[in-house]
Amino acid sequence: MSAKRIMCVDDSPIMLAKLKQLIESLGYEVCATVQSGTDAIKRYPELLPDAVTMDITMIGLDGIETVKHLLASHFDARIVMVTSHGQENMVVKALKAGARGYVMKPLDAEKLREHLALALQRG
Amino acid sequence: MTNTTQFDPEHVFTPLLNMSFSQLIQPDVNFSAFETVNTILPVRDVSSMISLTGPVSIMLLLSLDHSLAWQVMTSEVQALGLEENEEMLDAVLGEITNIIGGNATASLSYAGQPVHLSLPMIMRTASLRPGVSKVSIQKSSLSHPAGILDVYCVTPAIPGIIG
Repeated sequence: MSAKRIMCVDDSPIMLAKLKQLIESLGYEVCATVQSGTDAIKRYPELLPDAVTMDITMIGLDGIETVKHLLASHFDARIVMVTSHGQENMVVKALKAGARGYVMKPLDAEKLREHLALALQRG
Repeated sequence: MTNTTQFDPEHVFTPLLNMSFSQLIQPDVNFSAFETVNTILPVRDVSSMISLTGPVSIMLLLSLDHSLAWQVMTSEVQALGLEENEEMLDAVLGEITNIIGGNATASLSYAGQPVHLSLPMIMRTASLRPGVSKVSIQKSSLSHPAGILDVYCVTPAIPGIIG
């Protein structure tokens, strides 16, 4: 069985490199790393990844708005927020927008594994 | 008399600073206690700034000697197989500052009011003046063989809502 394909969205090249390394170590394939919400919206239909990791604070379109845009055109998109924002209201906002999980930076391999697996399992 | 020392950067930021730098700087990371200072001079070679606004108004400024900033960058990018350059140095400092600021929002939100986090800003050898009267400027330092890292916490004197 081929590995599930993940697209990572974050405006930091460092965080994208960390995400790629970590996600690949969990047995998934990182099919794309993109640095803006606009690029994520553009690349998603080309790639149709099994899941997306999404930063919140980005220049231009932020992560919450990007989630709304993606879900408006692809209602079954599976998105896990990966962000430094620690506020409860931000978690609620992201989940209300349609994200399926929320992982805090700095990255924790077990939490990322757990949330990606949950996002990929749900119908 | 207005109490101007309600906000405690020690409680909010020191654990996050230690967590962020302990994996990137050897030997041990040991930030000094925050102390009140009256100015932010001299600014070191590279500075990274982020603001937190809402029920609080805080500017967090990390100011590093270039030699130490370079060591932090190389520690981070070598493990990721990325190129070592000034652009990566900015990216690493920006990400560290973003994580410290973002994680701090959890303890700074008050009565359900959201704390807005700015994008991190990187500055190079520039003078910085808050331009605001009655600000509280507190400073922490890390001494390391590779250089000094100063951390300034700037916040207006607002009657305390954070314990």
